Amino acid sequence: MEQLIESLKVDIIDNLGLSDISPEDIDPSAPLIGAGLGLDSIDTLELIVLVEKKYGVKVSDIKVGKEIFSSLNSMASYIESNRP
Amino acid sequence: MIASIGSFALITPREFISPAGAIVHPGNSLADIPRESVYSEPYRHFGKMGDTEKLMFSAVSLALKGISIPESTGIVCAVPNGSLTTDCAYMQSVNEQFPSPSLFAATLPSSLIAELAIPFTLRGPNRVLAGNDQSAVLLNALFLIERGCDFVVAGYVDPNPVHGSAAVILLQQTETHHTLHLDLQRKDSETIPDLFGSIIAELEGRKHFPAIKTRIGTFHIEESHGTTH
Repeated sequence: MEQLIESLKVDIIDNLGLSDISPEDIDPSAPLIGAGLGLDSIDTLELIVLVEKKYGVKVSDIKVGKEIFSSLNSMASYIESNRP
Repeated sequence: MIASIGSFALITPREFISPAGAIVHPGNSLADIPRESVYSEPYRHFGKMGDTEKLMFSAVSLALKGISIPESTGIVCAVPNGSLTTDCAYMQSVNEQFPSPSLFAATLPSSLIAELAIPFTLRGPNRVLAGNDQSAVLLNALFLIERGCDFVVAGYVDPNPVHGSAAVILLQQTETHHTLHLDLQRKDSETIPDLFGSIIAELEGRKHFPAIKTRIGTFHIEESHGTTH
């Protein structure tokens, strides 16, 4: 799980162009959207694409999506338990 | 009264030229430019922008650096191929079975305007032009001024990956009811900073057109050819 979280930090920075942020700056328990990393709705869609493209995990329910992307910890947990 | 020139700033990867002097800087891409030299504060969204938006954002930052303009300021921007570069990148992501939402959002040509209007808080009327006729940019800006806009940020950006450049001119209405007829054509050998220099010269030479104050910011990428600067 720890390894997955570290990998996701790098993925998020690369995919969302967060050039001012380093992996150490990302708190796994902090909110990803709005506060914390300050991601917006388009970023959330990019995260959904990232999760499916790299980890083969689909996020098809928007209500579940809100919970999944509430933090890096919850995102990693969802991927871990839904990986093919 | 003759149109007065505010200040002029030209940036290349090797040097920053400003009214205060020049700063030597090595590098040959946007990523090499130390943002603190251009922007008053880090703008987190910058990393997400495409080259078109980055170039124009940088030029606008220079043009507006150290000054305050009203929120009613208008924007006019021109890009040679509109959003074609982004369209192609988006189609490539579609072909790879994972369409990019952020690229899709940027396939609207007017998204360039949004990338300027939001961070610089410019809420005036705006226009985006697809083409490489820089005089059309100026004429559209003057039209907005004619319609009551006191300030207009007008720019041209060429997102060429090697020799990309952007130039921005800030026009300020100082008087009203003046008509300007421009016949400016960009010569093949003329760079964008040269062209905007021509525009300024044109304005300076028109003593009957005193209504505009100008200020320019240009941002130009040049290949360093591996040399150390």
